Amino acid sequence: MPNEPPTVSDYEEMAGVDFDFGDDELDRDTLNARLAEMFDS
Amino acid sequence: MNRRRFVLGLGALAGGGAATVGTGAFSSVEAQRNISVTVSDDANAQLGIQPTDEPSGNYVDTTPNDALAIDLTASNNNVGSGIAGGEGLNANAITEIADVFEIRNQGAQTVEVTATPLAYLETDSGAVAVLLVPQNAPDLFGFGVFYPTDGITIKELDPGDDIRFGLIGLPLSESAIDSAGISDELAISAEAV
Repeated sequence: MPNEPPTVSDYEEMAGVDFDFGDDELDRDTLNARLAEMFDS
Repeated sequence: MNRRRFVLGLGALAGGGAATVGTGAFSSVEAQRNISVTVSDDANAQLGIQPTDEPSGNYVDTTPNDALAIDLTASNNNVGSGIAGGEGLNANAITEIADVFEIRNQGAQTVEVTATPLAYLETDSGAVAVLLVPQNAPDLFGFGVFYPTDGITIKELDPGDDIRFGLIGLPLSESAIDSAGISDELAISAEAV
C-alpha cells in the first residue's frame, strides 16, 4: 500500500522467510509498532 | 545508465551507495553497493546517497573506494569519534537506529527511485536480521511509496527531495553473538519519470 509503513509481513515477503521470534520479548506486534514509529519520524 | 552499490556489513549491517553521473539532467541511475563497503563521491552525485546530519549518520562509513557503507562493526572508522565503541547488535533485543542515510534527488528531473532489498538475513550461525526502514515517507504522500516483493519504490522524487532510512536490527537468538553477521548489498536505482 502506498505511503503506509512496512510491516513484518512485508519484510518476510521480501526475504522469502518467516521470522521465528521465539523469545517472548520479540513479538510481531511490537516490531510492527516500531516500524510504524520510525516510518513516521 | 550508471550503477551503484551499497554494501551491508556484518556483526551488524552496512549500507552504502552513491551515484555518478555527468552534467545536466539524468534519465536514469542504477547503483549497487556493498553494505560495509563502496561507492564514489555519492554525496555530490545527481542521485545523492549520503549519511544524514544526525548522530546516527556516523554509522555510515566511507570505503577505500570513496563508496558509502553502513557499518555497525568495530571496523567503522567513526568508532571513537562519533560512535562510542559499540560493535554489534544486542541479542534478543530490537535495535533501532533512525536517520542513518538518505537518498536525495540532486538532479533536475523528477525520478522514480527503487531500493532493494530492505531485509537482510543470516541464519547459518545464528539468526540475525537487519531491516532498512524508510522514514519521512509520509511527507511523500501523493507521490506513492510502494513495497514490491524485493524492496521499496518511491514513484516520484522531485529535485531537492529526499527519503531517509533508518534500520532495525533483530538478533533472533543468543547463538548469534559473536557468530552471526551480515555482509550484503543494497541496490539503488533511479529513473526519470
